[in-house]
Amino acid sequence: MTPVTLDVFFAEMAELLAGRRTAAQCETVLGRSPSGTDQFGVYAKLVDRQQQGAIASLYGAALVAAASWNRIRADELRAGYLREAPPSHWSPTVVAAPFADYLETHGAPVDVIELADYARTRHDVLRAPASDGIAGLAVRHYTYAVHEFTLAVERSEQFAGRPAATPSTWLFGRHRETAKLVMVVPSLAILVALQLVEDDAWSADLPAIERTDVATAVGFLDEHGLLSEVALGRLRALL
Amino acid sequence: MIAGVGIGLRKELFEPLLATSRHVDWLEVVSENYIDASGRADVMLERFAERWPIVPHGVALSVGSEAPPGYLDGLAALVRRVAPPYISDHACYSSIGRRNYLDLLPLPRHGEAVARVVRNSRAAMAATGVPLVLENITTYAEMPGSTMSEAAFLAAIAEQAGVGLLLDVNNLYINAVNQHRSARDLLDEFPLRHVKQLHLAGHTWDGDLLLDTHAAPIAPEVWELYIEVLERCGPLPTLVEWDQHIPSLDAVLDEADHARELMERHG
Repeated sequence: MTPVTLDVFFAEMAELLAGRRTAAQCETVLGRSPSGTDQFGVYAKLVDRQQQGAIASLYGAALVAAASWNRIRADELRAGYLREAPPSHWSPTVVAAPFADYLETHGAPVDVIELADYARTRHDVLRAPASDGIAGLAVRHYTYAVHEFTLAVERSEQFAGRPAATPSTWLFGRHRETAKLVMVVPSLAILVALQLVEDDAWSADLPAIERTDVATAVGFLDEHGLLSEVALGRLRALL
Repeated sequence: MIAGVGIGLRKELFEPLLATSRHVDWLEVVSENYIDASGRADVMLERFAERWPIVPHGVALSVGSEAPPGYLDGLAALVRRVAPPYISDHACYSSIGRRNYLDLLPLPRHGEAVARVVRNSRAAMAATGVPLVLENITTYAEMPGSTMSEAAFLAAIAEQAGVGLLLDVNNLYINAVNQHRSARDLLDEFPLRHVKQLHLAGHTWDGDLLLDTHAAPIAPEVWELYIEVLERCGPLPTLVEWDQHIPSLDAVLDEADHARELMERHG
């Protein structure tokens, strides 16, 4: 059999890799693979595994909780996402990132949605450009213990279950020196300090709070590297 | 100039690598992790580039089909930033049209595929202004329509495009096992005269297939092949790769040290 052109080859492989045609069907156009039909078809499985892996590497904890909720539905959600949004970017994290939105709009339970939001927030904060304001920070409130659950999953690949229904609020940021992810439970004074960075002035809308408490919070933010030197200077001038 | 033994820069190794006093000759970064990088990746790239030579190693250039939109511009910007002596990627395709497969997929090995790879390799070198080095991939099935051996295919690409080859010793071993062939025979056939760099990594069994997972220590059989390559080619720059179940930096550097000892003894 004369080799087909590359264009025909790619057209058939696109069908095989998307699972729309079997290896045997593709071989009727391309000719037989010397490795055998079953072996030729392994590429559809390998590509699927790579794509699923891209989602798992970003949303591992959410997938563990989803599987504990309903394994079949969890697999359907992941497959449905890849079907609706076939990867069109070279970066696995860019491909995987919108999966958090997909879970929210396709009937995933709240703990799974919150775990996905937690994972995406960590990812977004790590990628955020440096800022002299609060643009690179994020504050999130969760109704489930997403932080503890995620750490447990990351410590053990065998971990299963779902997060406890324990509410928590987290401030996510990146250390100005080490660029590492920093996560703290913010006090009211810390939240006021962040609002001051944003507004650059005291306002009547801010909660009534002692300035000494805010000064302590600024020291905490400084110690954890959560604001730039410029932002800290502006804050201290307001105190 | 790249020489000696480097390691793959992975985010799990950022902190210990910045703190280590152990010997590291150079670093390889996955190009796609640093194209358009912002935030921590951007900061880390800057810090590591101050201390070590860096070679961008891509998985998405897709020389067998065509580079994804915007990819070559991003790669060129990365090259301007870290000024590598060359860049590397794989002799394969990873995308068709706008669809990206996030995987390294084999081409049918024939004249038209050689011509396509040559055309795209030249375009990549023109866009980035540095030489390109292409790696042999693992092949779990022969594509229909192939008329050339892998060795003849890679040699034709190297000669016609003027690219170097990156011999992944682990990939060659995996191909030998999965194709029920002798690794020595595959090495005898390989166009070693074009090889500019080597990769060493670990593999994992999955059923009947040996997979290139970079998730295990370098196997004894791969170390033996590495010695054979060094004896035939001399001390080529070598890279130790880990991508999954990444151990401590010390464990990675132990493998790099062993490669360096072998290079001194056999290269």
